[in-house]
Amino acid sequence: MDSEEPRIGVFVCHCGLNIAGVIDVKKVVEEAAKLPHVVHAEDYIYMCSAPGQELIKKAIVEKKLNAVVVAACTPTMHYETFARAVEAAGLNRYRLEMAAIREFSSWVHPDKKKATEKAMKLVKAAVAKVAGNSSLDPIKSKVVKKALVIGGGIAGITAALDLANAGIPVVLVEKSPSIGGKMAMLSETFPTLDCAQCILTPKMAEVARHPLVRIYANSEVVDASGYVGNFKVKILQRARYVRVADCRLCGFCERVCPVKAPSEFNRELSERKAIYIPFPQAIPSAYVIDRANCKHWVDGCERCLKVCPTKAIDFNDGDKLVEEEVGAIIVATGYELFPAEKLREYGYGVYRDVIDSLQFERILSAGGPTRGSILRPSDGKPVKKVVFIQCAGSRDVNYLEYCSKICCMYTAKHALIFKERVPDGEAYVFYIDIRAAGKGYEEFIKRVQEEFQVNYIRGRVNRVYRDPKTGEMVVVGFDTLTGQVVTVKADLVVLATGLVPTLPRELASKLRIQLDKYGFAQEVHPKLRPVETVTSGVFICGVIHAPKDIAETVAQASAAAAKTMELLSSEFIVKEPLVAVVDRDLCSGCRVCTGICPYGAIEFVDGKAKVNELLCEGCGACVVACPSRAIELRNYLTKQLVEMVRAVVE
Amino acid sequence: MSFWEPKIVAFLCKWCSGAAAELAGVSRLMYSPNVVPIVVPCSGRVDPDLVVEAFMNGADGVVVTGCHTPSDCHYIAGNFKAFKRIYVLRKLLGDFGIEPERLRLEWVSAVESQKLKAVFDEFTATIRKLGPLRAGPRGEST
Amino acid sequence: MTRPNLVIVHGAICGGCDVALANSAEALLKILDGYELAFWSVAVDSRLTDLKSLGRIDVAIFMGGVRTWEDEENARWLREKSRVLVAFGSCAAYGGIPGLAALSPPREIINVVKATVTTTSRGEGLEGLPKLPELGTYRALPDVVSVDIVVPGCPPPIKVINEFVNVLSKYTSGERPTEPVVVAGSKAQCEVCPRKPKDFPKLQIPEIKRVYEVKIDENKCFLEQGILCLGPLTRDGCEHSCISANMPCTGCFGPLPGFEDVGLRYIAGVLALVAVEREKELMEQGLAKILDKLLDRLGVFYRYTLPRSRLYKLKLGVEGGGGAK
Repeated sequence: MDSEEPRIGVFVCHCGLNIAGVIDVKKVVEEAAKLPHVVHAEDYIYMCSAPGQELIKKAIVEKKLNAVVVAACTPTMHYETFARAVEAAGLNRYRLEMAAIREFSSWVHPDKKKATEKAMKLVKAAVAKVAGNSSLDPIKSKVVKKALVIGGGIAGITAALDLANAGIPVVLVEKSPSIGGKMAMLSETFPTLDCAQCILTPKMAEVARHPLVRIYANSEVVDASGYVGNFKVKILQRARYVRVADCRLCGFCERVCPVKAPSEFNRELSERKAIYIPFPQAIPSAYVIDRANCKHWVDGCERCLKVCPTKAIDFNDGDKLVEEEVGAIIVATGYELFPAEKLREYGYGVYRDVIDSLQFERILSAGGPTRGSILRPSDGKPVKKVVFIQCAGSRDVNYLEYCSKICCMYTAKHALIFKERVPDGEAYVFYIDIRAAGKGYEEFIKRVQEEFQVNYIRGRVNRVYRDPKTGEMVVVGFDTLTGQVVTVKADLVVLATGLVPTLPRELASKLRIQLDKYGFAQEVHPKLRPVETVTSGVFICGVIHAPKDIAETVAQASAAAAKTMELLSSEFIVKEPLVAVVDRDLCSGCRVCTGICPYGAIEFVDGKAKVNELLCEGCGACVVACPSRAIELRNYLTKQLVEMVRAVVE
Repeated sequence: MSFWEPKIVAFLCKWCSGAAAELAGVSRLMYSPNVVPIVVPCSGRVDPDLVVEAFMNGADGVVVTGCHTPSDCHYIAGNFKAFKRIYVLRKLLGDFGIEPERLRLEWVSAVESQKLKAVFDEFTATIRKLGPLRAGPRGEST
Repeated sequence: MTRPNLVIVHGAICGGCDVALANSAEALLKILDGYELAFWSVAVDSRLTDLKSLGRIDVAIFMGGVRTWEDEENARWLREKSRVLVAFGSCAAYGGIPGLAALSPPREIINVVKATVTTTSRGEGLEGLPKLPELGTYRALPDVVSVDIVVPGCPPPIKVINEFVNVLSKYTSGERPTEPVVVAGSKAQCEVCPRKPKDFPKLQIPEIKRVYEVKIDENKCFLEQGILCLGPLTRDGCEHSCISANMPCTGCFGPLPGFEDVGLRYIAGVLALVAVEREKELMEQGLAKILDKLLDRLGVFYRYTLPRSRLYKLKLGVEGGGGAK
């Protein structure tokens, strides 16, 4: 409370007969006038009306009131009305309290005497509170009109384009040497069976040439600090050893490189050289050297440098730490597949002909290790029979408890494409349930089952092994609909494994994003605030939020971009000032508050707690928790609440 | 001569139970006038000290209402803090010989005005049965 | 010019405060130098009648809580006669460990003692033995009379006794302190705790563990290991003998200025912080299970401070025994 003595005016509304019909309004006024610091008390038939508001303004000026209580309806109804009225008379709006004697008394208590008594208590409590209120100004903070997008897959690319097209500069950070994410590895996408690269690469090119987008590939966000409107991030840009601007993609370097390593893009089904381009349409459009495998640092090999026509190779390149200031951050780091070698019964990692779904995508891809022919990895023999195992490690308390949503659809897609290319082939799908809830998805499944004659077996697979005599893969499962053990011999087994999130916990904690027990990022509320996190200014989209398909990912990415645009559209962020404040002299540095605050709004400065005004939402949990009572909530001080309790009970 | 009437303080969180109380008002749901509400931003703002303050100043019962767990709390998890505090405080009251039933915690969402009325009425009946907190000149402790 | 005199009188003691004072060497010598030690039954052979024969007392040190009618009589008498009255040790200051017995009616305590003590003789028929004084409501000294200086600790450490002697020298003649001087810091232990991490990471208390359940890491904050340490609510100023022995603070220095009730603040802050990262996963049931791990609430929260706590005052008020607020 400011140092001056409170001079409180109490205004009791009749609200026609709504209040006055039950409550003895005159008595309430009479009693109110006797309360400490009350210098004016009157009643009127409709306080919210223009004449009613005039009475308040007049009293403020004439009686030099510095605090006002309106006993009427609830703040939800008319707080704004009366706040503007007192402001018009020169009084700060936070010096106003309302006592809801209508909703909390006259409308719910038929006994006039009791209703009046309760109304007097409510007024007494409101007077006690307003006596402790301070005049406050809204909190303003400048906004940096720039956004950071972490993750260069389809989610990150979509968000970056939406923002850039709206005139907002974007920094796009991608961990691997090229943007494109998992979608670039896919052959076709369900249910339309569009070629994935065909719909993705135009977007990749668009984002690459957009003047407002700055791409940091082969990079990672290693530090983040600050708050909404003013984040400072540190980006580690790993050395590429190839100058992007000079690389012409001629490929001579690749031809002469003596080192081979498993190809990440082809999910280790084939090899690449130590100097390589992840895939032909990679953005940035340049080669990259894999330092871990390259022989240059071992024996001084420089074969690639000697043949490069533009001298684009630079062994003196080094990692760089770049700092950027942004106003908002969108996290779109996507997923990895569940490591199938954990499913010991299925033999992944033991038998080369047991593969996972992304590996099958690479086999199907025209640009993949088999140029689109469906051949089995062990000996290159064409696949005639394939078994798909759905829910491999999903919906299972031993591995992943949750459903990854897309596996039923992508398996159906895999089976369809297989049958298209190998019309005389046989495909089997072991499933528990079929989840096909999207637009046209149920019809897609039906088509795969009926038109393409893929065999769907409802039951789980017990074991997968190779028959040593014939070399075939043997899949032993159970058909619950016929109640019989089923054995299928096949050339190839594809495990439909689930999606696991890949956001590193340290980065999540730096951004103060909550992760659920599986590691997926937590939204504030699934329906009311689906792309926002607990940290103001940090948004999420794509599979990092929860498993979803590309259509949903793109929609959510646009939603995150829209929320970001909303935030960055004004020069200033304006906030209600009803936040918590720390008295440094009382703070002992016990840190209890830091653990209680759900928004991570409390940081330590010179050994004492400090509340970040922009992040604090004013819940007051820290106020209660502080063992030294060093934190207080503006206009909801502990002593105000104590006075209110006394007013109500005595 | 007047008979003893239970004095009950209710701490309502602004976003859920406070809204329910407003709805109860709008719906003209009649409930016990013994319960006087104090609206706070969050059930997590209710200090155990404040509950004891209420009892020390004459309250016979205290009820704290907040948003449903796990996800309704406007401030993410204030309701969980309220739960932990009230859970142990009730036991502590028992340790000091004060009936834990005099302190109650309920989750009431913004639309559960009927539930709020039921909670207020039931709690008033409970306190009436327990009798006044203080053995004073007029109170008849049962 | 006569030296000011000083008396040391016992309420319900264990003897530890006497030992502490005797051990304090330098401080004791300063006292003996500056004051005439008129009464200290543990060190000087004398009787209560000798005490009561004193005309005036400059400094009275009271150790122990007020348990019997005799203690109460002595306390009131001392307040009347003395210029400066000192509550020495946590028992006098806050009630101390025996304060936990304040919740048991005196009759019950006597009955339990009678029922559990084995003796071949009950002392009946023996003449000349003094009768046991009657037990009253157990109270800390400040709840019986006004106190000028409070020296907390169980027992007060040497550092604090030295400080006490300094404080005392300010009041050697003339004025009493206008409000009680507490010879302890006014900030929490955490302010000076050697285990406080330099970079102030968020405090997380995953669950509640008893001290025997965990190999306590000497360099890490107790709370972070699930051990309930009272450091955040206890005044600093002690020598950290507990913390340096790898045991959590149990709160003998008493609550921070402005608070009397340790339990209510502990529930509000530290207990509300338990398992915060897993609230939605555990829900009320899981959280209750973790909180149930704390079996002895009174012993943990109010080990030294029960008679001065708000809840105790509330209980007294509820029973109509007076001293409600």
